[in-house]
Amino acid sequence: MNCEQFPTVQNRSPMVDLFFATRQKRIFSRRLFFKALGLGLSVPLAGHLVRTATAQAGGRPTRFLLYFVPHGMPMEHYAPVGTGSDFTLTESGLSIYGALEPYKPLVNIYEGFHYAKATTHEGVLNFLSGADVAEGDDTTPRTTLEHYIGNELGMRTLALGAVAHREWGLDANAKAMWDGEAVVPQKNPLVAYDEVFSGLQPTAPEATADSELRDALLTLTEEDITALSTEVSAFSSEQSKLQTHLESIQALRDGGGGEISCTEAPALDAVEAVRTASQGQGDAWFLKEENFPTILAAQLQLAAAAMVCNARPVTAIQSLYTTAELSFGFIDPIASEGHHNGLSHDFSGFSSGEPNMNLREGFATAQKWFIDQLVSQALSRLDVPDPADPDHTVLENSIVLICSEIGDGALHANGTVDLNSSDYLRPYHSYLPLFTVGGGGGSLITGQRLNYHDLEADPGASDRPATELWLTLAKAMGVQTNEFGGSTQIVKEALV
Amino acid sequence: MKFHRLVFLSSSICLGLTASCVAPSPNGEDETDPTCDDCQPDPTQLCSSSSIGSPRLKRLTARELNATLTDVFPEASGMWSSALSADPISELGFDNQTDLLVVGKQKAREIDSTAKSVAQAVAGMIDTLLPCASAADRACAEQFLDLYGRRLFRRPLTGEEKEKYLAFFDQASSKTDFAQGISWMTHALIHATPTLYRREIGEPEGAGRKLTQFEIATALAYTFAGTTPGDGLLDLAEQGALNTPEALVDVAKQLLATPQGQEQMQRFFEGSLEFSRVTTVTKTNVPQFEGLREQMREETRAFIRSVVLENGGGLTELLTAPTTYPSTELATFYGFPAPSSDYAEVARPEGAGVGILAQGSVLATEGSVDSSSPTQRGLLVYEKLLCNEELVVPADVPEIPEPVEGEVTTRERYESLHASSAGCAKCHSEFDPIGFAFEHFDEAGRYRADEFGLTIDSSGEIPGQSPAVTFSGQEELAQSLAELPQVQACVSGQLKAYVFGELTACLGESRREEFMDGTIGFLEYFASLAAEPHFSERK
Repeated sequence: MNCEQFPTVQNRSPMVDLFFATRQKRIFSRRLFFKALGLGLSVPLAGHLVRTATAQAGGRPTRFLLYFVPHGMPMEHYAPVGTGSDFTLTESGLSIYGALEPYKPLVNIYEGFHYAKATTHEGVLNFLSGADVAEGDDTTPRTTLEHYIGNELGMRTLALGAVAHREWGLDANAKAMWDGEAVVPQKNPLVAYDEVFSGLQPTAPEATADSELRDALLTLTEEDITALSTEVSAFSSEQSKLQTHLESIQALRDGGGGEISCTEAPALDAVEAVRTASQGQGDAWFLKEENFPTILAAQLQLAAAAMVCNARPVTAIQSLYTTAELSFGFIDPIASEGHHNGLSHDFSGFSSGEPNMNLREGFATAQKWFIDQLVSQALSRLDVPDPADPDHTVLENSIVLICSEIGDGALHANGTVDLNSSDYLRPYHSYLPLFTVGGGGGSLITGQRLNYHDLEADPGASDRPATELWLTLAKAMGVQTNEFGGSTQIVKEALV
Repeated sequence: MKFHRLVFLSSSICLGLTASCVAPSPNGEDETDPTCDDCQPDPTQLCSSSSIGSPRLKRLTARELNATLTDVFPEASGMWSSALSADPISELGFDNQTDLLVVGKQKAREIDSTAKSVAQAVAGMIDTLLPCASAADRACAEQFLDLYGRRLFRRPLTGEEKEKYLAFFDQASSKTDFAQGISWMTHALIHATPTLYRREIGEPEGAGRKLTQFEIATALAYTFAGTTPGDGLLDLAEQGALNTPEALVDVAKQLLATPQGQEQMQRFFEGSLEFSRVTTVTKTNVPQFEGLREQMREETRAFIRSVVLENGGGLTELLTAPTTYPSTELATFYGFPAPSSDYAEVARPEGAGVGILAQGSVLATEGSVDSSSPTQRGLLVYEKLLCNEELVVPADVPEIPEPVEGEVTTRERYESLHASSAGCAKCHSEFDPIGFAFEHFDEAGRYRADEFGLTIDSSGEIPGQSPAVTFSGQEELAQSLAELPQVQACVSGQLKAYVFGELTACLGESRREEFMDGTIGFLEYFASLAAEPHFSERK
């Protein structure tokens, strides 16, 4: 096959797209890698240079945190008041996003976006990837934004989850994150902590020997896989599995983060609280609903610490699977009816214009708790001078994407919906809740409410694909690309 | 036989498609509907005889790998920790479907971390594991490889493999010490493909391929016990004793009699009927429910243990058994007689339901948060017992009118909404009439004679059947379902998929008819699949 025979962007399949994305990344990384080798650096140092160079593509170190909160928002408690750069987050009912007000200069609100081939809970399968696959297809490979950014920058995305799936496995309501295959977020903050900060342990004399032996072990494994792959070459589906396996072993050689700026593992009180509470409890403890607040707090602190230290510049937290019927009675009795059906999907009286405002307030209380937790456990810890760039805070050098897969929970909408038919909800409209906090190392223009589908001013407008926003954020993170999930347009008002 | 498939094609309109994708032809050959290019394999497909599938490499599930490492190193039990996350669940509800099981980047990291933990535990107890450890030499390392390598690979290592891993041991021990050398070698062995994959490739024989004795032993152990073959089973393989269908079925039955084997059978029902989901649902008007939902799961497991595992029951017994096995607290909750001890047998009161579909776990899982749900309960039967294609819920589902106690029944609320629009009725008419059978059970699974003083109408029908199948109440529905060939084909098809790890048609037909007509029960049919040609051959 010559170059001209490769499929064009327009007509190639998602699988081919995945291949191309991977291939392009490797070409980019390898070029840097060999350049580093040409400078006389050792192989490990050359690899490190590649990661550092890609992570600082915009000149300043950048970090990314995806914070996924399922089930949308009750709009009367969510919508900002004001337009453009003159808006407030504290005057909407219970003000779900009120805790972000102090960070407003670094906040962007994005309204008027949608994603296709999704209607209900399983929309989460496509939400962050823009995958062009049938509704409910939970097996076709795809890559979601946080892993795409991590992969492109040569970083291993730290994927965490608090009750992110049911005890017995990963069904279609749990697969929010993808890296070719569906990602199972790490539910145990203690395991994640050890993995992220193990590099900060004092260097033992045997470390060099360990490194050589590990290299030999992986080589042994690669040879084993290759030999079996040759043996089963007549059976393409089995050989394909082994190719995936081989690439995964090769990826084990890669490190996870950038240049770690901390000299010792940070003390995190929420992680220690988990350590104490889960002592002797076994793995199942980490999927128990009653432990959810403790686990989420630990994961938020851990993600923030990983970002501050640059140990994992790209992080993601999936708080809950989409249909988790978790009681929020620990906050307020009104929010005890179950996050999924009991609160977010309380349809009672909605279409007749008489929604149960009491339950909607309960849902708002639950969703506000998520944002409050984000601020108190993570954003406040990012609002410190960046060890790698002391003239700026880590938050100024970060992009924190807060998102949900539907708009108003009662509607299940994957795009903008007019709510004017309800006297109780007028003048609100249902938008996909999309916020960012942080300046992305100076790459984002922040402090804006950007509405691309203003139903009052321009009822005839159409939603923009969410993938245009994902592309914009990827570029802001320094990813060298002009396309994501089929989109090539960027949100130009947001990008410097 | 005509099977129905329904698909929502737009947010508010659904079209019913009544074409069956596949069906046996009159001459016994299996035909595929040429108009149905993208149809998924259908569990209900019947074939006139069993066929042989393709060679496979089956990655161990997280559950299987954890069990394997526990059984290979029983001395180290509790001394290592697993980092393996949950596996993807297939549309049928199982986590062992071959196509979904790969070693992606995340899984590779988790395997690596788990292997390291096991290897460190091995190093920490090297004197216990290896009496020759004090010699700290290559010969002792070879002894380790002969015993534990054979268990991990589920076959003796070849000379070339032994030399390769011993060379790695030499390298590691020269840089560290004997115990660490064994540890590194253990780490490498766990990473190896013979450990991570169930190999069902076989060797050429005639026009096809014959699985090796060790491949067969491995398939038997994982299929019927969910873990690695023990030394005894490997010895049988080494002796070539797994060479007749009868021998394989005999081993399968022995394995199914073990606690691990019984758990394999339980897992089939948990996957297909999803009753464990009860532990994650809430009921706003039943404050004691959260304290009972774990017990409901245990009650259903006890039901399966008795009806299927101890008494060899089949589909009829599963659906119509007049007993249940509640805790004392649950029996009080239901208003049933108290059991002699928790999870002991009690007879269900007359009219208070029969079989697994009357289990509290099933009814509560498929109930709404504040009322019963004819739609969800009907869908359970529609999808899981009739094997109709899973439906996609439209985006703009209008709300069900709020319950008004004593003024309108749940059935009336559902009927008024779902019959009022042709778009709704088109699909809901396929499963709501089934769900009405359960209206004598509230959202938490308790029997109710009336609904807040209102008379309950639990009559309905199973749509699409010819002649029409009508019923009055859950007990008649259960009896009708047990007699329906479509249900018998559906459940037996699911069991085949669970056993073979794939939904390929025609792999297990030899005794399927006996299962369908009730001659043999679940356990017998499960074990009989070991005698199918696909269990020991490949094309």
